[in-house]
Amino acid sequence: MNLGRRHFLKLTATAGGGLALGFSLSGCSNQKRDFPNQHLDAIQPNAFLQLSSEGAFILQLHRAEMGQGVYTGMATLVAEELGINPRLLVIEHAQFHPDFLDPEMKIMLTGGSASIRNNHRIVREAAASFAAILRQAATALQVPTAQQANLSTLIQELKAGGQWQEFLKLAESLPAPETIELKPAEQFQFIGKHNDRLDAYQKITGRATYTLDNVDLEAYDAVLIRCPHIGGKVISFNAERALTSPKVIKIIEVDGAIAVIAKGYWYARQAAAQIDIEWDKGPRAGFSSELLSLQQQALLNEKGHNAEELGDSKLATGEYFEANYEVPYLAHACMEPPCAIAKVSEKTAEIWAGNQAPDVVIGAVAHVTGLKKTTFGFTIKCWAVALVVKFFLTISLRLREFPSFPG
Amino acid sequence: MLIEFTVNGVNHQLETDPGQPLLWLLREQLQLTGTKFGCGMGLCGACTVHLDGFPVRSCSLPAQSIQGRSITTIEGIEQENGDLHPVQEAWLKFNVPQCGYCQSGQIMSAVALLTRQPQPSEEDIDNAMAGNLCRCGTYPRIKSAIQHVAGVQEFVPASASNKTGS
Repeated sequence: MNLGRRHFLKLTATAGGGLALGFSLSGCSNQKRDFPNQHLDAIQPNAFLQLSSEGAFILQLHRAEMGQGVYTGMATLVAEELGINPRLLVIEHAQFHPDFLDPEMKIMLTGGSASIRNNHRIVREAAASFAAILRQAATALQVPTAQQANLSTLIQELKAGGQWQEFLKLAESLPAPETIELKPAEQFQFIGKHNDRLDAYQKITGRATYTLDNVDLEAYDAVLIRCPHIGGKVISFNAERALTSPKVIKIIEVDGAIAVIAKGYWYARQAAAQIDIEWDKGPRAGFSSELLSLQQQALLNEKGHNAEELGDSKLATGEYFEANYEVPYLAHACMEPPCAIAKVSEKTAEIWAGNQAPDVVIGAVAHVTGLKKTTFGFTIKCWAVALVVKFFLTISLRLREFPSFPG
Repeated sequence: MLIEFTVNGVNHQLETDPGQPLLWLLREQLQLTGTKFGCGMGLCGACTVHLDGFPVRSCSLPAQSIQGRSITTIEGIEQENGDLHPVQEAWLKFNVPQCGYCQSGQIMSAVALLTRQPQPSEEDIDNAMAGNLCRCGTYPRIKSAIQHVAGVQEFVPASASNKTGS
């Protein structure tokens, strides 16, 4: 299957964290380079950057914007080396690619305060390398300002001078330079200076598409009822009352939880409240915050570890200070409820899910659909999202078992 | 039940369960996804829209109560010519949004406040905006943006830093 065209059709410039992952089970790309989100007729020297045939620079943003500003930060780093205003960059949420792995953690994770810290040099080099290729091509075409003009101006000049097509062809054939020089700080036009968030406009006008904003009118809506005790599962359930709603399609058990599938979120949620469920509360039944607090206080009676020694104990005054601190629980929850959209057919799975690691999501998809993909290590946050994805994938697959459903 | 109402000046007739909240009519039946689902219980404010100009939590407003009424959503506060609402302009100026998920609701609450009270006191602002939660913590910038629209907050651009080092 030609991945280039397939991905070209799926391009969205979402700003809210929605991420489209599409991949097929059979075949592999016959493109000469296997980069995701390749635009037709664009030149692409590396996984991060493309120059379209219209002259737009396109960045694959390989870290998730969650409010921390990486959408703007990563774009600013790239724009600096390209010598263009960050506002001119077309920014797309990246799909998985090995070049997008965190160099330390070896997964495509947004987390660990590592996005800019571990990637600033990588993306600057990708941009500087591309800029060098483009300037080299312009020099070969004897454009006088090839080395000094910022790239936006250069592109205008090439178009005006009728050299644009020739330039693109030449630039595509040039190899990346052996050595790359990054811009010195004294010459920064944007790094440390450009502060306006590039995704602000979309977010303040309701245009930014978050996961559930990717409306698919054919999709069903499902809510999950999971055991209130971690590790518990369903023993039995009675959905008679819930099933009387004309909007409810099916109510099924999924991995120890109950899934209510309906046409419309609210109808699913209303129906869920009408299901009688008998729970096996599991190995942690009765575990509570009060109990945990008592357990932790009991630990204080045991001999402790010496964490650190500073100074000379002979100089101690004999006074000592003791204090017990107990910190209240804080729900580590973002405003957007965990959710996902899954569209699964025999050969493809399309997933929309806000997440911190696409490769973890891919692992969950592989696990549920039977695809052969390598799985990677994961953090608790990623796994929580992958669980959501896994549930919705399973629901999507189970729906296909029922003959009354359209394929 | 057939509900007739206007959204952002456009008339609609929709068939719905009388109890279905306005939020889902907007998102699912009209595909106006700018209004967000946060809690479904009227506690977080992400779903805030205007009902006849007054701010309401659409997740908890049943369809039957909007019969014949007029709704404004985030999609409807821009000017006719595409210019942004002054509140939205202030939001850009003060670089307010981070993840952005709460911002539609924040803006709708702010617009409703400033329409009723063009020069709100700080206490007025706190009271009016208290029902809109933001986990990213953009509250100080929200307040500055509102005060700027009210004419009491001057915009001071962040000073350009000239740090050395790559």
